[in-house]
Amino acid sequence: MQPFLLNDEFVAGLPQPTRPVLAWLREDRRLTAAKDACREGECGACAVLLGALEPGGWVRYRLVNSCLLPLTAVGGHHLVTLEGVNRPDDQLTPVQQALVDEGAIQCGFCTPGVVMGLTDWLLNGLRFDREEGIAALDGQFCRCTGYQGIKRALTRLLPLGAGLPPPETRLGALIAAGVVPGSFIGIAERLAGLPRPERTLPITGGLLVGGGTDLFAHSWSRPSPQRLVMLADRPELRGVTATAERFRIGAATTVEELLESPLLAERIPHLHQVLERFGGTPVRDRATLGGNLVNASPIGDLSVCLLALAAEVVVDSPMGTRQVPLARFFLGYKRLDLHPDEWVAAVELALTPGPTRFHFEKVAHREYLDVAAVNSALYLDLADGAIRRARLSAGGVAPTPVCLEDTSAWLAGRPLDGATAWSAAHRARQEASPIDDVRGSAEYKGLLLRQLVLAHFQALGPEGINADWPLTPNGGEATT
Amino acid sequence: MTKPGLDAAHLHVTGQSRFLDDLPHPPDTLHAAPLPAPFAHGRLLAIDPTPAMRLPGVRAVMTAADIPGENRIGVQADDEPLLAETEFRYAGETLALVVADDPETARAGTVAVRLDLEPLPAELDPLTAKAAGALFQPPRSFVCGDLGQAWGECVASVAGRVLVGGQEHLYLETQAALAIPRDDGGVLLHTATQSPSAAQSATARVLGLQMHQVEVDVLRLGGGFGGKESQATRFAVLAALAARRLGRPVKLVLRRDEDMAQTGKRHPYCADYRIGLNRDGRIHAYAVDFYQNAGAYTDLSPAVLARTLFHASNAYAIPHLRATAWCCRTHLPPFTAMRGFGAPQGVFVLECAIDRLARQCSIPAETIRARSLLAEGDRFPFGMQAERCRARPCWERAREGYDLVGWRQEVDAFNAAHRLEKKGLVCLPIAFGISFTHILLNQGEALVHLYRDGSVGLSAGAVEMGQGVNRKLQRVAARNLGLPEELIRVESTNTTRTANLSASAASVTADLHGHAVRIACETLRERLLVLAAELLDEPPDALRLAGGAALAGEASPRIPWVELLAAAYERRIGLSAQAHYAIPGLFFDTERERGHPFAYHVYGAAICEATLDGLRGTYHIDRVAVVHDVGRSLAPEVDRGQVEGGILQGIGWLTSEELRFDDQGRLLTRSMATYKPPDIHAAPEILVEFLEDAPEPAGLLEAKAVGEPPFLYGIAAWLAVVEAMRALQPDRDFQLAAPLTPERVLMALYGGGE
Repeated sequence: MQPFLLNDEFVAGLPQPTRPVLAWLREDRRLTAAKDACREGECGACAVLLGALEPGGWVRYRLVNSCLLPLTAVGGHHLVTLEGVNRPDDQLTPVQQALVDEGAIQCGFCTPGVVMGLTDWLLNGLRFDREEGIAALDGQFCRCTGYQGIKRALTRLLPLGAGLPPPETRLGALIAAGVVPGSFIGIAERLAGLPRPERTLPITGGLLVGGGTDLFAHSWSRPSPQRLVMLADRPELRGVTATAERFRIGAATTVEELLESPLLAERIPHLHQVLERFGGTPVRDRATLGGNLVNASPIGDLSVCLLALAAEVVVDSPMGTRQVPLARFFLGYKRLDLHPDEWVAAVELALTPGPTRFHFEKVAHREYLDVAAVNSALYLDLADGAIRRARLSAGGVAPTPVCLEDTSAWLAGRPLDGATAWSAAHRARQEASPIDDVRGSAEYKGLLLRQLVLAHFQALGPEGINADWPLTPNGGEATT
Repeated sequence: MTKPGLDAAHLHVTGQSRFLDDLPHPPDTLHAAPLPAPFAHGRLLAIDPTPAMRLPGVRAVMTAADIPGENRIGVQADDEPLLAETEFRYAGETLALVVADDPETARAGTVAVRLDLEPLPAELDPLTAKAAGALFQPPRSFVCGDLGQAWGECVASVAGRVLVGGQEHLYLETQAALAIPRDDGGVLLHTATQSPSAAQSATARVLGLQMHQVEVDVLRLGGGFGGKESQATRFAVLAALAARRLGRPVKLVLRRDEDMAQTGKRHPYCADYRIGLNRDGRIHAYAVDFYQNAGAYTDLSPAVLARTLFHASNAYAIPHLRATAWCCRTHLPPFTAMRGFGAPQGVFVLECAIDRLARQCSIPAETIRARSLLAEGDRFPFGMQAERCRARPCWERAREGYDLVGWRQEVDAFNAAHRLEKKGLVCLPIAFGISFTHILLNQGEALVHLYRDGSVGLSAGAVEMGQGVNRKLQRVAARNLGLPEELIRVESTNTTRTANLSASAASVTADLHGHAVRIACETLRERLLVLAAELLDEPPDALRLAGGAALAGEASPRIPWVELLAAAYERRIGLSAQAHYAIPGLFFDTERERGHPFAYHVYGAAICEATLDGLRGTYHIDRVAVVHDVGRSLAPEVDRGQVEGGILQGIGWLTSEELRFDDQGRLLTRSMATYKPPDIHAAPEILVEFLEDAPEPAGLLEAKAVGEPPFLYGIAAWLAVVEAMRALQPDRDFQLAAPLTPERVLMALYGGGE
């Protein structure tokens, strides 16, 4: 595999590119600051920074879960563990000092991940308000402190953050403040000097992997293929582009990159808000759009959004390119219209001019970093206060994410009012066929879908649209 | 003076602190993985290790037949085997142990072992278990007053059933042990346990060794919360068994899903209650039956159940009460200690009862709570008087300090202005008794060495697991020896330096071992001051140790610490001291269920606000504001963290943390993807004020224990959400279970119909 930098050191010639980075760090390198606590990207105790050389000649660092990261993904990058953030003189960095001073440490097991999360925030933060700091730690789980000390610590870092230049020119200031050691200064040059592997089409020769966040989840012992082809390394598969009518998102674009896209924020602002609740920071930094679709979860948030937005999947193969409507891409539970020699190259959306009427809803046990019991999206095309066209999608109510075709068709031509909403909510509930599972009972999911459809209309409809919705058990609805 | 060692916070924040899995292990170390029973109950007919042994790297498959001593690891009773023999009683019970060159090969071995199992009927419900007589002990009752007459004196009463779920500890460091065989046939056992002596005695028993052949060393835990009190023993003994049989070091570290599926958790309870109000608006009568789902083996369940009874009346004086508790045997993992140890379930049931009583009588629950609060000299149902009772001071201080009246006005205004969003606001008092209710456990031990360079080594029976006990021990020693804290090093907890230890549990660890440290330091101080008196020509009682010297007054001559030690060493005065401490004055008569089981009570009051999204059935806990009684805090920074962390764990227990088992007793929520404790977004704002002027003479340097009591405040969050639901649907009489998941909320609001 391709050489890389580990903290201040050049590493080459590793024999096991498919091994999780965390196992290699802890077992082979005896770097034990990153902790092995969940192996599924839920706790962040194993978080490390992964730096990549940007076109402008600076290094962009991302917080990633090393338990989910195959070694091969590190090739050509700067891998930074907490050992590589520590100051050589035994003094503490401002992040570390704030955590110590504010009583943010109890058992200490989550602490290295929290240090990495806050360091990542200082590297990449933009607003440096309290909310941004909390969001920067959304992938870090702590069982001891109730997060209060951690919140006090991040509040203490606000003045430091506020004085920083933009991320691409920030490194000098961070070194001066002691946030990262001086050795970071030469990293861009050293990364530029690493050999680049030749990347050619077709993409073959191993298991195709987006960010890899689902590859090791739950098990490191699952037999893994000899070779992984990391799609995230391919520039042609990344990025967001738009014409007047169409939007194209490369399949290897990470969720975090989608969040950073000004195009997306401008054209589909609500999708931007949805993405902020997608996983935690270390997962968003790796998880890709294509990986999320190919994973074929019946409850994928992105899939449900893209269904309502009538996305088409661009599928490439050595034979050429084809486009499939997303609704037809999902064939059944974890089954896709995707042949072994094909890969997802991009997703395309048609955009009507003007602001979109699009809304997404999700309810899980926990508001953030949790899989929904039911999620749903609604796209409305309006004319003169009436619905011209509607597309309602839902997850968690069928073996795949689905478009609720009947309800969507029924909505066409209806006025955008409370009565329409109430009827649509009932129809959606009838149309869906959820099952009992660990996320909830079938009865609950049906009821929840009804409520989420109402929530769509509350968000997209006029003020007061909810005024007549009954607030009683089975209000206005025949018992099924 | 040379550079002091780095303190624990510094080590944690730089990633240098070592947890068990971080310890450098010897190069010939093998790795073990337990083979769990695949369903709840069955006969173990045969284990065929052959397919596993064919895997390259698998070294051994061990079964009950490999145990040289007794196959028993229970703490309270002898019913729990290390490895199943002919029958297994819960999904996840250890049937065999596979040892291999690396952990993943060992795991592959557990899958390859061929099992011949015969399913037997599985009992998962405590009520049917009770009906079938499946109890670990006869029911136990606390009774006071005359309930028969009392019901007639009530102006209102209400009866109901409460279901409350268990809770996964989710300590971030999973169960782990490293066993290193010794030249004399003994074992050195590094293990992440709250109870080193339990691991030591069980290992000795299983291996057929004497206890002095087993050295248990515990450096620190990555969280415990009770989950490593009895439940760590199994994995320590398994590692020790393999190490002894194979003559090589053996390490066993559970993966998260293995840990969640194979270990016990907080007990789920079912309870039936009846509660009555007198014409003064006080709780007059309360009858309750607790049905504890104890799981498959005794573990600590009877002790947990006892604490449920001790806290059945929370912070209230209830003149007529009967509380009966049933310890029901089911085929689920043996439920075990967890922060609060049965008290949270007892308090929760009472608070649910008060909540419904208030609704029935159309008076605020807060009024009933305020009028029923314990006052000085009131008796708990088990006969102990409330001494230095701070229930009302905390309550009043919380109401005034946080402006409850103004706060409620804001909530009412919000509710009037919103149709689908509603807020609930609840004020809740708590009381929590400090001491192990099993009285013999209330003893602690410490060993203090003064080294000739002035540094101090301190060993105590306390295990540091994030609760900050080492900081408190260090502070006690520093104050008693008049030294800066950096000179005091708190060593690992080790069974060769301290012996016959009670678990680090029951909030009482700092009290027990801190007093022992104090006594040991006093012994040394006395010796040194006699010497200093001779050297300074002053009477010994005129002298003290302060500021790193022995001195009479600020202006008088002094002997610096290191010189004093040098002089003592020259005169052959002992510079080490060992001490033992037992909490005085504790007694309990289990025949009459009367006595004085606690050194003191911790009191407090919380106000909690929650916002309900009445459309989606979700909610957010906005703010928890508490006035908490910690006596005269010995380490406010530690105590604040304990209160904050305890509150969020309590909230998690009753809101988003849901254990789901399938009909075969298998845990479905066995990963952090499906089991959801609060994250940083879910955590509310938590305001903590310590009650002022509340020194506790029975505490450690007048401080009170702090670990468990704040957990109870989480109950206020559950009540606040229900209050918000009632604001949305005022005519409903909700009878809700816990945890109050979004599913339960939405189904209660709009589902099914009544």
